[in-house]
Amino acid sequence: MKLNIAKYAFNSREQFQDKFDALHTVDEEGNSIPNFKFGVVQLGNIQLEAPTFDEEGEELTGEVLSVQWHVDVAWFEQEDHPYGWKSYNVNLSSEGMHGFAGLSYLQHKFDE
Amino acid sequence: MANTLKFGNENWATKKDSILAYNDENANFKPLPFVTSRASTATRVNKAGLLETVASGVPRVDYLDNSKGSYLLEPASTNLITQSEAFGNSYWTKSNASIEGDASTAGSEQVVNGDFATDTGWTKQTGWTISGGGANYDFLSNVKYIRQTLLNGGIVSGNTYQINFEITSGTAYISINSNSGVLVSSNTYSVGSYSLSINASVSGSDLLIYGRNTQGTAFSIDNVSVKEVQGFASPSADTPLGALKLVEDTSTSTHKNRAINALSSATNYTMSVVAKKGERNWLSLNDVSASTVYFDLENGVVGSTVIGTPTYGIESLSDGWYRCWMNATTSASGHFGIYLAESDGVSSYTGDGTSGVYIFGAQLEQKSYATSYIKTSGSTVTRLAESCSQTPPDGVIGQTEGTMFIDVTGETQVDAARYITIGNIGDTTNRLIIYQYSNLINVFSGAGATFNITYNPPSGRLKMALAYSVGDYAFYVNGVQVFTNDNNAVPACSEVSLGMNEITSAILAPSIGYNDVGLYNTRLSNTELVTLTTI
Repeated sequence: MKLNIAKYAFNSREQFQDKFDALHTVDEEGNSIPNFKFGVVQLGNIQLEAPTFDEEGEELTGEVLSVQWHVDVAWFEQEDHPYGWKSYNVNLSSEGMHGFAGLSYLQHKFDE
Repeated sequence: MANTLKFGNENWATKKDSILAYNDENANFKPLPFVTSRASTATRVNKAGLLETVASGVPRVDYLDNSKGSYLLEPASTNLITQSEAFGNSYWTKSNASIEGDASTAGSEQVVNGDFATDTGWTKQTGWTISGGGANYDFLSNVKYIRQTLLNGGIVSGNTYQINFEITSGTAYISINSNSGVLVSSNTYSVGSYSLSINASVSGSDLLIYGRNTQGTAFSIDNVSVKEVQGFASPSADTPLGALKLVEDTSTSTHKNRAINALSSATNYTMSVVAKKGERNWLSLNDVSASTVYFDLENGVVGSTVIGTPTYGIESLSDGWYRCWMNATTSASGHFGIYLAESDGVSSYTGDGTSGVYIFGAQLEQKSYATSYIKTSGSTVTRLAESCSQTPPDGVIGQTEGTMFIDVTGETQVDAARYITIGNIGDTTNRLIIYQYSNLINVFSGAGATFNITYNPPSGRLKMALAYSVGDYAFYVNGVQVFTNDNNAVPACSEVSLGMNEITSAILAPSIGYNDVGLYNTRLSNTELVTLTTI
């Protein structure tokens, strides 16, 4: 089974949702069915700087969040990113802040 | 009632990407393998009641609350806790409590000249002297250390250590650090011997003892010792000594360990932790919105005190371990907390400094129920969904009449999830499906006079059978006829699948365990359907 993992940073949640919806077909019963196999994890506006706390757990400084909407995807049996996704691919040199259990992003990302 | 395909019912044979059907007639496995798909690793509860990681692609036969085992299919889920087992890590904020390992497993001494017999081996800042068999702090300057490089590689983040010392005079106000961060926060210690067990949240080659002059007095410290210790026996086949103990201090307050910034506002979460009673029999789960559930670890039941409107549950593992979970929707962003409790509803009390409960495996999911445990150690981790299917030989799937049967236990809250399907990839007409939508069981036939019938199922175990022949469909659940239909066509199908879309082969996994699955190439009689589906 061919598997690739990709990380994306979309301009907004809405932009991601449009592209996500395009990967589905609504059947005659009204169910939204994926057109092929994939697993999507929305990380959202990820944390760029962690909050700091004192020894009692009270927050000293707040977290700083990305303005982009971040998404990790496991694609099955795909040769490349789906149409419209590649422009938002983020090519990391580390595993990043999220992973799929037992799978290395660096070993499974698409060849650039 | 001879079936053409039988699957499960205590008889399991699995290997990577495959799980076998079974033949009751000759008590052996049939060469009818389901092809399974799960790209990630995942965990299950094995026959011994232990959590166990299963390799990518290997089907999971799960024994949680089920001695016969069930084939577990789950949708994808993410554990949002980034340190699911390292409760001493700084990701977790301890308040009036500590995280301890098993002191009886202490390894070799890592401190040289911890008895200060000579003025060697320690680097002293202003305010410190070594003489008279001790290290002495003069209380004239603030935040000054004595320091040395530890043996055996120093402190390793995630490992547990026993730190012993003796205050021989005065009242010490000290913190204990590695050269990368705090190991033991500032505290006061009067004359006496102390033994602190810490789960290191930072690595570091050096040990630093900081004297402070904002509290206490001048003091002398002696017999400093650092030894690595193991965790306690856990309910995990992967990390059998991976459990830690949440121990109360002596304050009159709540005693807790919290993932401070784990929850977003207006979000539905299920939080869970695996726990075992220690000297304390109770713990509670609590979120930022004050939703709280108390769990009785002595008797394996939920307490009577529930704050807010969460849903909750407790599930038995092995050797007195339980998985406790709570589902609630937040009204603010903030913490997920594990609290020690003195009794049902009492989480603020005067601690004795030694009592606590054993904990292992915390999980936080944006789901309305808890799925199988996902281990994390530094980042959030997603377990991918799985499904299975096979194209059996002619005669297994009835082409003009037949019956589909499943016996399942678990959640039914995944929209469009397929319990069982017969169909053909790419064929939108010839398909017969039992699936889930809006908490209802749906039965759909794409052939002839297409129908989609919905049914509100009872909670708990479901034994469902769909029988079909031309003009004669019937659906039974738990011994009761749910509907009949006179559709005059039967779909001609070549593939049977669980948790998979019959047209696109996309994974649409429910979150259930399959106790038993059967196909018959005859339409069983209504009497037989009652017998087959009665629990």
